[in-house]
Amino acid sequence: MKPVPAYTDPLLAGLLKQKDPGACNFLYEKYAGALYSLIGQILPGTNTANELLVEAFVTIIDSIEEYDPSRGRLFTWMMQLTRQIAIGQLKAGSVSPGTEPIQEDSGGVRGLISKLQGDEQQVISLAYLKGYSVEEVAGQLGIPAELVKAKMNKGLVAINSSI
Amino acid sequence: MNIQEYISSGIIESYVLGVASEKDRLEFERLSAEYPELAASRYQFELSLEKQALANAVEPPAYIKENILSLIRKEKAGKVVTISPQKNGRKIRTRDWAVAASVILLLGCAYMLYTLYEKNQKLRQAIARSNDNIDRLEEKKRVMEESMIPPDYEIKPAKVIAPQQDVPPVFEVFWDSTSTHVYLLIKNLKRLQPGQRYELWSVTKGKYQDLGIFDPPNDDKLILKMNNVREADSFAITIVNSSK
Repeated sequence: MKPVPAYTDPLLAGLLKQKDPGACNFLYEKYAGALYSLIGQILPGTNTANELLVEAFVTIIDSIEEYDPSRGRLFTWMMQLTRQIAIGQLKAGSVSPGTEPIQEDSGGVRGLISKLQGDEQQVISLAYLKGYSVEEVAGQLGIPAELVKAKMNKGLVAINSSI
Repeated sequence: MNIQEYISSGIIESYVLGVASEKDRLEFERLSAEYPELAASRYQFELSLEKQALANAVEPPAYIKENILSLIRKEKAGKVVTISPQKNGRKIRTRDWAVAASVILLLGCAYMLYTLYEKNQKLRQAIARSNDNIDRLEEKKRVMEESMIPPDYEIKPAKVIAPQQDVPPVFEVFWDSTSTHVYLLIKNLKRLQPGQRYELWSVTKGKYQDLGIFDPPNDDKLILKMNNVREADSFAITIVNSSK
């Protein structure tokens, strides 16, 4: 059995920059499922999720130079990028109808959001799962932006506690 | 600054999840560098998030892995990468176009040149070395002047094609950083079937933005001015069928 290499984030990023096959393989094996789940939390539809997963990984590897280890973990950056791609697709509005969702229950961040109180769940859902800015949430719900921010912060702290 | 208050404010979660405003994000990064306890708290949340994400993983269909790895291999080898029609079909569908079977994705060179341009000297060396563009720039300028593009714009050449065996190099995209205009100089672009046209896209962080649709040229020197685009990592051209 081959030993699994232990990559630090900067080392992994450096190898991905060179498109090292071993590093790319490792990245997929470790994180594909987590990112696939994330895509499914934002968008329905298996076909869409499949396409977006390919897009996410290719974009991650092609843009790896933009990852800054001093700002956080590699996976955090990958999650943010993947979420942006999924939200971009959501906003483009043309998701294939009639395809099955990729997961039965809500996992991941969506699952955490679903455990929040009504108000907090609503604002964080709009912000995280739909990509609304604070101002857009405020406009959508007809409440001041400061109030939106306060509810969001409360909910986010609760998410951290529950994780 | 009461750092403990800041740490428990929700900003960490906001930042890590990617919902913080630009202003908050920049402030957070600045403070993380200054306060190790803030960076440590961020790290802890990131770890928990990753653990939770891995625990809730959903296995994708097996074929996707090889799709991705083979795309990366091709990029690494410098070949043109093809992408599936549906990817561009999303946006085209909303405009009532049907996408043709073959599309062309051009990666790598334009992105590389774009980042190099930020360091002026490096770019000039790269252009002269790899594309011999400095000589060509004069010709392009002359052609552009003939086509009535203002000659005092600063035009950055962006070579977008890595040659594929059966597809000859065909065009260059000139990106004017001062006014966000994109000029497309077309040479030897493949002739299409009747009813087919080309569409130019800019690609930024995986997001595709339509720059315009154009017909293939009748002669060698066609310059198109495409819709404004502010920044791009790379450009792509697809073939579209008019379904009307």
